[in-house]
Amino acid sequence: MSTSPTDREQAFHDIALRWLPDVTRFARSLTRDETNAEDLVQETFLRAWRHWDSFKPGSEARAWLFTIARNAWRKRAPRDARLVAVEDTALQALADQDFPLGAPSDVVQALTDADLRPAIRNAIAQLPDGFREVVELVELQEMQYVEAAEVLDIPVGTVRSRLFRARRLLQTSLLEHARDAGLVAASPEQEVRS
Amino acid sequence: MNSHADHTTHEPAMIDCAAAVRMLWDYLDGHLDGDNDAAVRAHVTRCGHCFPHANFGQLVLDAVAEVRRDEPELTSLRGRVLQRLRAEGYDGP
Repeated sequence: MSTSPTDREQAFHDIALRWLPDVTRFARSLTRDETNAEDLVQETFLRAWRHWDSFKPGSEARAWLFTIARNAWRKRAPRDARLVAVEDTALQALADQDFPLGAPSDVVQALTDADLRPAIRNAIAQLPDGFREVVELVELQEMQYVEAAEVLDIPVGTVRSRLFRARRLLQTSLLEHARDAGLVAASPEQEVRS
Repeated sequence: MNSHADHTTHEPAMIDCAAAVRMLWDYLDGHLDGDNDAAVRAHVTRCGHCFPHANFGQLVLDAVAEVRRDEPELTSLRGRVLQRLRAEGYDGP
Protein backbone atom coordinates (compact mmCIF):
# COMPACT_ATOMS: atom_id res chain seq x y z
CA MET A 1 0.00 0.00 0.00
CA SER A 2 1.44 3.34 -1.03
CA THR A 3 0.56 6.37 1.07
CA SER A 4 2.09 9.76 1.31
CA PRO A 5 3.80 10.66 4.57
CA THR A 6 0.96 13.00 5.39
CA ASP A 7 -1.61 10.25 5.00
CA ARG A 8 0.50 7.98 7.16
CA GLU A 9 0.80 10.60 9.88
CA GLN A 10 -2.86 11.46 9.72
CA ALA A 11 -3.81 7.81 9.97
CA PHE A 12 -1.50 7.33 12.95
CA HIS A 13 -3.04 10.34 14.63
CA ASP A 14 -6.61 9.27 13.94
CA ILE A 15 -6.24 5.55 14.61
CA ALA A 16 -3.43 5.19 17.16
CA LEU A 17 -3.01 8.41 19.11
CA ARG A 18 -6.70 8.56 19.93
CA TRP A 19 -6.09 5.67 22.32
CA LEU A 20 -3.58 7.60 24.43
CA PRO A 21 -5.91 7.72 27.49
CA ASP A 22 -6.56 3.98 27.33
CA VAL A 23 -2.91 3.11 26.78
CA THR A 24 -2.00 5.34 29.72
CA ARG A 25 -4.47 3.58 32.00
CA PHE A 26 -3.19 0.21 30.86
CA ALA A 27 0.43 1.29 31.37
CA ARG A 28 -0.37 2.46 34.89
CA SER A 29 -1.97 -0.88 35.56
CA LEU A 30 1.09 -2.74 34.30
CA THR A 31 3.70 -0.65 36.05
CA ARG A 32 1.89 0.55 39.18
CA ASP A 33 4.22 3.51 38.98
CA GLU A 34 3.53 6.88 37.38
CA THR A 35 7.05 7.49 36.06
CA ASN A 36 7.39 4.02 34.58
CA ALA A 37 3.89 4.29 33.14
CA GLU A 38 4.69 7.52 31.31
CA ASP A 39 7.93 6.06 29.97
CA LEU A 40 6.04 3.00 28.81
CA VAL A 41 3.39 5.07 27.06
CA GLN A 42 6.05 6.97 25.16
CA GLU A 43 7.84 3.78 24.23
CA THR A 44 4.59 2.18 23.12
CA PHE A 45 3.70 4.96 20.70
CA LEU A 46 7.26 5.19 19.47
CA ARG A 47 7.25 1.46 18.65
CA ALA A 48 3.80 1.77 17.13
CA TRP A 49 4.96 4.59 14.87
CA ARG A 50 8.07 2.69 13.80
CA HIS A 51 5.97 -0.36 12.95
CA TRP A 52 2.87 1.45 11.72
CA ASP A 53 3.16 -0.12 8.32
CA SER A 54 2.57 -3.52 9.90
CA PHE A 55 -0.74 -2.43 11.41
CA LYS A 56 -3.64 -3.91 9.50
CA PRO A 57 -6.24 -1.24 8.67
CA GLY A 58 -9.59 -2.17 10.13
CA SER A 59 -8.15 -4.24 12.96
CA GLU A 60 -8.41 -3.30 16.59
CA ALA A 61 -5.80 -0.59 17.13
CA ARG A 62 -6.31 -0.44 20.88
CA ALA A 63 -5.56 -4.14 21.31
CA TRP A 64 -2.54 -3.77 19.03
CA LEU A 65 -1.22 -0.92 21.17
CA PHE A 66 -1.88 -2.82 24.40
CA THR A 67 0.07 -5.77 23.04
CA ILE A 68 3.00 -3.49 22.19
CA ALA A 69 2.82 -1.96 25.67
CA ARG A 70 2.72 -5.29 27.41
CA ASN A 71 5.59 -6.72 25.37
CA ALA A 72 7.65 -3.60 26.00
CA TRP A 73 6.98 -3.79 29.71
CA ARG A 74 7.90 -7.46 29.88
CA LYS A 75 11.22 -6.71 28.22
CA ARG A 76 12.17 -3.78 30.42
CA ALA A 77 10.69 -4.57 33.81
CA PRO A 78 12.86 -6.36 36.32
CA ARG A 79 11.68 -9.91 36.70
CA ASP A 80 11.06 -9.51 40.41
CA ALA A 81 8.91 -6.43 39.77
CA ARG A 82 6.75 -8.34 37.33
CA LEU A 83 6.28 -11.20 39.69
CA VAL A 84 5.44 -9.16 42.75
CA ALA A 85 2.63 -10.67 44.80
CA VAL A 86 2.10 -13.56 42.41
CA GLU A 87 3.70 -15.92 44.88
CA ASP A 88 1.50 -14.78 47.73
CA THR A 89 0.07 -18.18 48.49
CA ALA A 90 -2.51 -16.94 50.96
CA LEU A 91 -3.88 -14.54 48.36
CA GLN A 92 -3.87 -17.23 45.72
CA ALA A 93 -5.69 -19.64 47.99
CA LEU A 94 -8.33 -17.05 48.69
CA ALA A 95 -8.74 -16.26 45.03
CA ASP A 96 -8.88 -19.93 44.12
CA GLN A 97 -12.08 -20.47 46.05
CA ASP A 98 -14.54 -20.53 43.22
CA PHE A 99 -17.60 -19.15 44.94
CA PRO A 100 -18.30 -15.46 45.38
CA LEU A 101 -18.70 -13.97 48.80
CA GLY A 102 -22.04 -13.11 50.22
CA ALA A 103 -22.51 -10.30 52.71
CA PRO A 104 -25.28 -9.45 55.14
CA SER A 105 -27.76 -6.97 53.75
CA ASP A 106 -26.68 -4.26 56.19
CA VAL A 107 -23.08 -4.53 54.96
CA VAL A 108 -24.19 -4.33 51.34
CA GLN A 109 -26.39 -1.36 52.18
CA ALA A 110 -23.55 0.42 54.01
CA LEU A 111 -21.22 -0.18 51.07
CA THR A 112 -23.86 0.88 48.57
CA ASP A 113 -24.23 4.21 50.34
CA ALA A 114 -20.46 4.83 50.55
CA ASP A 115 -18.11 6.25 47.94
CA LEU A 116 -16.21 3.10 47.09
CA ARG A 117 -14.07 4.51 44.29
CA PRO A 118 -10.90 5.04 46.38
CA ALA A 119 -11.29 1.61 47.95
CA ILE A 120 -11.82 -0.07 44.60
CA ARG A 121 -8.89 1.74 42.99
CA ASN A 122 -6.69 0.63 45.86
CA ALA A 123 -8.01 -2.92 45.76
CA ILE A 124 -7.36 -3.20 42.03
CA ALA A 125 -3.85 -1.83 42.47
CA GLN A 126 -3.15 -4.49 45.08
CA LEU A 127 -4.24 -7.41 42.90
CA PRO A 128 -1.57 -9.84 41.71
CA ASP A 129 -0.34 -8.88 38.25
CA GLY A 130 -2.11 -11.60 36.30
CA PHE A 131 -5.44 -10.73 37.88
CA ARG A 132 -4.97 -6.99 37.67
CA GLU A 133 -4.24 -7.14 33.94
CA VAL A 134 -7.49 -8.99 33.31
CA VAL A 135 -9.52 -6.61 35.48
CA GLU A 136 -7.96 -3.67 33.70
CA LEU A 137 -8.75 -5.00 30.23
CA VAL A 138 -12.17 -6.57 30.82
CA GLU A 139 -13.66 -4.44 33.57
CA LEU A 140 -12.08 -1.05 33.03
CA GLN A 141 -11.31 -1.08 29.31
CA GLU A 142 -14.46 -3.11 28.56
CA MET A 143 -12.72 -5.56 26.25
CA GLN A 144 -14.33 -8.84 25.30
CA TYR A 145 -12.73 -11.94 26.82
CA VAL A 146 -11.33 -12.92 23.44
CA GLU A 147 -9.71 -9.52 22.92
CA ALA A 148 -8.15 -9.59 26.38
CA ALA A 149 -6.91 -13.12 25.74
CA GLU A 150 -5.15 -11.95 22.58
CA VAL A 151 -3.48 -9.02 24.33
CA LEU A 152 -2.35 -11.14 27.26
CA ASP A 153 -1.53 -14.18 25.11
CA ILE A 154 -3.50 -16.54 27.34
CA PRO A 155 -6.53 -18.78 26.67
CA VAL A 156 -9.99 -17.23 26.90
CA GLY A 157 -10.85 -19.60 29.74
CA THR A 158 -7.91 -18.27 31.73
CA VAL A 159 -9.18 -14.72 31.27
CA ARG A 160 -12.55 -15.78 32.62
CA SER A 161 -11.17 -17.68 35.61
CA ARG A 162 -8.72 -14.93 36.52
CA LEU A 163 -11.48 -12.35 36.29
CA PHE A 164 -13.77 -14.28 38.61
CA ARG A 165 -10.96 -14.91 41.09
CA ALA A 166 -9.97 -11.25 40.98
CA ARG A 167 -13.53 -10.25 41.73
CA ARG A 168 -13.45 -12.44 44.78
CA LEU A 169 -10.34 -10.63 46.00
CA LEU A 170 -12.05 -7.30 45.34
CA GLN A 171 -15.01 -8.45 47.42
CA THR A 172 -12.69 -9.37 50.24
CA SER A 173 -10.99 -5.98 50.04
CA LEU A 174 -14.33 -4.20 50.14
CA LEU A 175 -15.35 -6.12 53.23
CA GLU A 176 -12.08 -5.15 54.89
CA HIS A 177 -12.68 -1.57 53.83
CA ALA A 178 -16.16 -1.68 55.37
CA ARG A 179 -14.71 -2.91 58.62
CA ASP A 180 -11.77 -0.48 58.67
CA ALA A 181 -14.01 2.47 57.79
CA GLY A 182 -16.41 1.60 60.55
CA LEU A 183 -19.22 0.99 58.10
CA VAL A 184 -19.95 -2.28 59.88
CA ALA A 185 -19.52 -2.96 63.55
CA ALA A 186 -18.05 -6.44 63.55
CA SER A 187 -15.44 -8.25 61.50
CA PRO A 188 -17.41 -9.08 58.38
CA GLU A 189 -15.33 -12.11 57.49
CA GLN A 190 -16.55 -13.85 60.58
CA GLU A 191 -20.14 -13.29 59.59
CA VAL A 192 -20.23 -13.77 55.90
CA ARG A 193 -18.15 -16.83 55.06
CA SER A 194 -20.53 -19.16 53.34
CA MET B 1 -59.72 -17.11 20.75
CA ASN B 2 -57.18 -16.70 23.46
CA SER B 3 -54.07 -15.21 21.92
CA HIS B 4 -51.92 -17.15 24.39
CA ALA B 5 -53.39 -20.52 23.47
CA ASP B 6 -50.46 -21.50 21.26
CA HIS B 7 -47.81 -20.56 23.76
CA THR B 8 -46.24 -23.22 25.94
CA THR B 9 -45.80 -22.23 29.53
CA HIS B 10 -42.07 -22.29 30.19
CA GLU B 11 -41.07 -22.36 33.81
CA PRO B 12 -37.39 -21.77 34.59
CA ALA B 13 -35.49 -24.96 35.34
CA MET B 14 -34.96 -25.66 39.02
CA ILE B 15 -31.30 -25.49 39.96
CA ASP B 16 -29.56 -25.92 43.28
CA CYS B 17 -27.35 -23.44 45.13
CA ALA B 18 -24.11 -24.91 43.80
CA ALA B 19 -25.25 -24.49 40.20
CA ALA B 20 -26.55 -20.99 40.85
CA VAL B 21 -23.35 -19.83 42.50
CA ARG B 22 -21.26 -21.44 39.76
CA MET B 23 -23.10 -19.38 37.14
CA LEU B 24 -23.49 -16.25 39.23
CA TRP B 25 -20.76 -14.07 37.69
CA ASP B 26 -21.85 -15.01 34.19
CA TYR B 27 -25.42 -14.22 35.23
CA LEU B 28 -24.46 -10.81 36.61
CA ASP B 29 -22.42 -10.11 33.46
CA GLY B 30 -25.41 -10.98 31.29
CA HIS B 31 -23.47 -13.76 29.61
CA LEU B 32 -25.94 -16.60 30.18
CA ASP B 33 -28.34 -17.86 27.57
CA GLY B 34 -32.05 -17.45 28.14
CA ASP B 35 -32.75 -20.73 29.96
CA ASN B 36 -29.77 -20.51 32.29
CA ASP B 37 -30.38 -16.83 32.89
CA ALA B 38 -33.97 -17.53 33.88
CA ALA B 39 -32.96 -20.44 36.08
CA VAL B 40 -30.37 -18.44 38.01
CA ARG B 41 -32.69 -15.46 38.31
CA ALA B 42 -35.49 -17.65 39.68
CA HIS B 43 -33.16 -19.36 42.14
CA VAL B 44 -31.47 -16.21 43.39
CA THR B 45 -34.79 -14.44 43.86
CA ARG B 46 -36.10 -17.20 46.09
CA CYS B 47 -32.98 -18.44 47.85
CA GLY B 48 -31.95 -16.82 51.10
CA HIS B 49 -28.45 -18.29 50.76
CA CYS B 50 -27.75 -17.10 47.22
CA PHE B 51 -29.50 -13.74 47.33
CA PRO B 52 -26.71 -12.07 49.34
CA HIS B 53 -24.12 -13.59 47.00
CA ALA B 54 -25.86 -11.96 44.07
CA ASN B 55 -26.30 -8.65 45.87
CA PHE B 56 -22.69 -8.45 46.88
CA GLY B 57 -21.50 -9.54 43.46
CA GLN B 58 -23.54 -6.82 41.82
CA LEU B 59 -22.22 -4.28 44.30
CA VAL B 60 -18.63 -5.08 43.31
CA LEU B 61 -19.46 -4.81 39.63
CA ASP B 62 -21.16 -1.46 40.22
CA ALA B 63 -18.20 -0.19 42.24
CA VAL B 64 -15.75 -1.19 39.51
CA ALA B 65 -17.96 0.48 36.91
CA GLU B 66 -17.73 3.73 38.85
CA VAL B 67 -13.97 3.91 38.39
CA ARG B 68 -14.14 2.80 34.77
CA ARG B 69 -14.31 6.29 33.40
CA ASP B 70 -11.50 7.78 35.44
CA GLU B 71 -9.73 9.98 32.94
CA PRO B 72 -5.99 10.31 33.38
CA GLU B 73 -4.50 13.80 33.12
CA LEU B 74 -2.74 13.72 29.79
CA THR B 75 -1.80 17.20 28.66
CA SER B 76 1.89 16.99 29.52
CA LEU B 77 2.18 13.32 28.60
CA ARG B 78 0.64 13.92 25.20
CA GLY B 79 3.26 16.63 24.61
CA ARG B 80 6.09 14.28 25.54
CA VAL B 81 4.72 11.52 23.30
CA LEU B 82 4.51 13.91 20.36
CA GLN B 83 8.02 15.16 21.08
CA ARG B 84 9.40 11.62 20.93
CA LEU B 85 7.42 10.89 17.77
CA ARG B 86 8.67 14.04 16.04
CA ALA B 87 12.23 13.03 16.79
CA GLU B 88 11.38 9.91 14.76
CA GLY B 89 10.04 11.86 11.82
CA TYR B 90 6.35 12.13 12.72
CA ASP B 91 5.01 15.50 11.72
CA GLY B 92 1.31 14.95 12.10
CA PRO B 93 -1.22 16.69 14.30
